[in-house]
Amino acid sequence: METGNTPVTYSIGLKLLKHVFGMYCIAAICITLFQAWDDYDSSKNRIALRIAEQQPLVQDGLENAVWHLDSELVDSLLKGLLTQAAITGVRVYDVDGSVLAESGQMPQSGSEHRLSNQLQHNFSLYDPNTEAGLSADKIAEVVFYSNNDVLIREVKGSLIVLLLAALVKTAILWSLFIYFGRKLLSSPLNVLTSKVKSLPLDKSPENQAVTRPMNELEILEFAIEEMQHKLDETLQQLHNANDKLSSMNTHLSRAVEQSPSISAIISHAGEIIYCSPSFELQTGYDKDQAGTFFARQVFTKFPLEQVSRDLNHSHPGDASDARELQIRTLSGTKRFLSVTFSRVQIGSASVTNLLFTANDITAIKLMSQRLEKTNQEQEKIIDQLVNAKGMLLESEKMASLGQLAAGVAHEINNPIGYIASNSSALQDYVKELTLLLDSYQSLEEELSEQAADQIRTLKQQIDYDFIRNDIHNLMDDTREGIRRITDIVKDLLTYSRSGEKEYCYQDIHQGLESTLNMVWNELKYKLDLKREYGDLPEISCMISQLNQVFMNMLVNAGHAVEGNGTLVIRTRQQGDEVCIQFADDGVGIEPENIPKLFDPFFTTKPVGSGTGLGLSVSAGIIKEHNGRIEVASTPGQGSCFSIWLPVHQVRENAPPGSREIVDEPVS
Amino acid sequence: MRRLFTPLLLLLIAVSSPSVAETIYIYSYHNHPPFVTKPGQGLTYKLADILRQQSGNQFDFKVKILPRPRLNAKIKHWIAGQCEKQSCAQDWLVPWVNPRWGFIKGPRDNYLWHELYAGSSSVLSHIDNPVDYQGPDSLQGKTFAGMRGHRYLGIDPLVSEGKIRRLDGNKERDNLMKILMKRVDATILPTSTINYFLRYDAVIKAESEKLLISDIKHQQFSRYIMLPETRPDLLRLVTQAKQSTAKLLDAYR
Ligand SMILES: Nc1ncnc2c1ncn2[C@@H]1O[C@H](COP(=O)(O)OP(=O)(O)OP(=O)(O)O)[C@@H](O)[C@H]1O
Ligand SMILES: [Mg+2]
Repeated sequence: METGNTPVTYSIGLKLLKHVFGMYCIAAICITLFQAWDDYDSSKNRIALRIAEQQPLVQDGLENAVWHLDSELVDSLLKGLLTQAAITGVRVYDVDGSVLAESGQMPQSGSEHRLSNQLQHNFSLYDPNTEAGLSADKIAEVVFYSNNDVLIREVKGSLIVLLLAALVKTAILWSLFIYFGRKLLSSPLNVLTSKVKSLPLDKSPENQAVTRPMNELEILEFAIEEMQHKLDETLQQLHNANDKLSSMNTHLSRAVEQSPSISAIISHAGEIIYCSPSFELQTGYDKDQAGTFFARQVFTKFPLEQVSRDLNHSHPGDASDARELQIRTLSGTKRFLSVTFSRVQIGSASVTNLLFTANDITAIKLMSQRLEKTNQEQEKIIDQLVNAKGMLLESEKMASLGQLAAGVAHEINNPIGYIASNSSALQDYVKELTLLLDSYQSLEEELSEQAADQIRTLKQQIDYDFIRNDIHNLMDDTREGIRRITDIVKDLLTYSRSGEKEYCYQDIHQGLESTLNMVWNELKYKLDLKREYGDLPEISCMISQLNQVFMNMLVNAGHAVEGNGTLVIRTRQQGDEVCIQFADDGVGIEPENIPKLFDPFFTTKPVGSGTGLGLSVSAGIIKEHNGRIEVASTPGQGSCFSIWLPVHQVRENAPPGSREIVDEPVS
Repeated sequence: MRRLFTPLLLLLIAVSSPSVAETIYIYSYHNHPPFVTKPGQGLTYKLADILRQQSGNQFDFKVKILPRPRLNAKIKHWIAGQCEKQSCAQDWLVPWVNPRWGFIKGPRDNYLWHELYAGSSSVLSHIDNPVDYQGPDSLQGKTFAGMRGHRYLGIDPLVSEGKIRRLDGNKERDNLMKILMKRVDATILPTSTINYFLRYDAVIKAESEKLLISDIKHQQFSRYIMLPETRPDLLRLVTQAKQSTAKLLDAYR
């Protein structure tokens, strides 16, 4: 609709004028009436004053005239008074109320009251001859009258002026109102309206058709209403957007605050501007201590200048590569953080801050360390396996050697058997023959000299005495040798009887001794052996397997000593258990190696020298015997292996004492 | 005691009785010397004093100087002779008057009269413009200074005929001065008044030679004290004071 030029008839000025003028007319009439009334009132007062002014002029004369009751003089004085325009009538009352004299127009007796006393003036006349100091006697009451004609005459002129002035004022007001109304109200309102209309608020509602003519205010109101609609919608949209934003903001800030990541905003000067709560949680430091923390633990590794320089050419949001940082929390725990720096640009391009982000990767780090270690261990195990494979081949060789040895032993065993029995028979025979020879000797006295000499000579030749003595020694030695061979064979058989699964009560000491026999030749140059054997019962065991264990102990001890050493073998019984101890004064075992001793393939010995299976196999055997093996070692001072074995095996049926034949052939 | 008490009480009442003395008004329209010389002074006041003394303070005499019309108004019922029917004021006396001076309009004289002295009124003129008074006609064609409200026997008819020009004044002395200043040709004043001025008024005394006092008096009359007829007690008092008054009046004869 056209807003630029509202016709004068619809102009706000005119409308306002209509309303204002109505009010103005009422006000003007009221004011004019008031002025007129005021004028009338003051005129009345003026007239009253003018009437009153006549009193002193005539008082003395009147007083004298009345005193002397000189009616002529009184009349003439009254006439004189009437020449005054303001006074229309005069009346003189006697003290008793009767009229002494009167002149001019008198008000009717009824209307006398209607006339306000402002239009009349009363005064009293006193005895003029009264001596000074005495109260004079009142002799008469004089009333000057005036009437409305005088008043109207007085007021008429000023009333006309008043009316004219009111008319002129109204006319001027009217024209000024229209002029300034248009100038100060209509045109600014029109401008305002067009400005309001042109406000760039979107979703402008379709212009409603305006049929009736409007004044500027209505047009403005119309435009403002339109704007209000627009504003409402815009406001609603803003509200929605704001709600979304604030909820987003809440989510974001919650996310930041509850995130386990440490976030910190750092100024270029190194001042910590913001620190997320996770900082305190993760480091244990207060927010106040953040500056110190960063200075000591972060900027030492990532100097601020360098970080800034690196980020200088990056865009905000581009983060530096994640770098690892090891920190120490307030409580002293080590932690690993994955740290990134990025630029945060605020406002002008010149001011940028740094965003420090860190995630706790301690768990991952530890895991990877463990993995690495496991990896290394696995590599080692693989090495060991490779070794072990060689060893196995070796041990297979050995095993077959053992079988060979067992076979040989078995073959030797039989001849040794009868050699042993023969030699024992032979010894008996020799004893008997010796006995025989001794009885012959006792008979020598009785022999001829010759015969006796012959015998003597022969005895001398063969050194009979020596032989006679030595033959027993020889026999003993032979039997000893046979016994030893028997033993060796027996040991060989015993040792190689692997796969034996039968428990029987055996003498541990015997086992120990046979094992010692097997390896002693090798060890005797290195080790002094001390036996501290206690009383041991026979225990339920597979002795050949235990012998393997003992052998291992002995060999390891031999390896452990450098140059010369001592090995003490102690045995004792303790309750239902027996204990066999091997204590050497060798190099000892590093503490960290102790847990690994019984692992298969654990060895400290150079490749080819040891397989690392010895203790592992031993532990397996002991475990099978429901026993245990313990190690105590001080590096540099020696080691002590204690083997505990139960006297009885639970599953065992055979009663003690029913010992099995040891030297039974293997096959 | 009781016998003594009543006489004592009576004595007390008697002693306090002067405070309730009856007030008697001395009405007088003779407001000029020698009757009134200054406010509160003159023969009238002295008369009041004498009478008061004479009554032994039984009466309090108060002087009221008032114009003749007023006096007439005050005692109009006495003048009209109506006081037998109406209750009229009886607390007054009027000195220096004559029964023929218009106080009796009723059928009879209802006053008591006490003669004081014989007085007269003389015609005064300037010595340069002498009036040889032989009677009222002598004043024809003259300007006459009268007293306001006074009636002049024999002269008033001539005035109303236009033969004499009468100019009224308020005061006797004014009229006398009008003569001295030749404003008027003649005036009539009581002889006692003239004598008073000639004796006590310095200005008039200085010019006494310029005044011509007629030998023929305008009027010869006795001055009385007029009393209501109901007050013989007052008349008795006035009579008792006769000597004192006579002595007083001698001074102004
Ligand atoms: N008495 C001991 N004193 C010091 N170290 C010992 C002793 N006994 C065993 N060890 C240590 O234990 C390791 C494992 O011993 P184990 O008997 O199992 O294997 P090995 O002796 O090295 O090789 P293998 O016995 O198979 O020839 C040895 O390498 C050695 O380091
Ligand atoms: Mg070993």
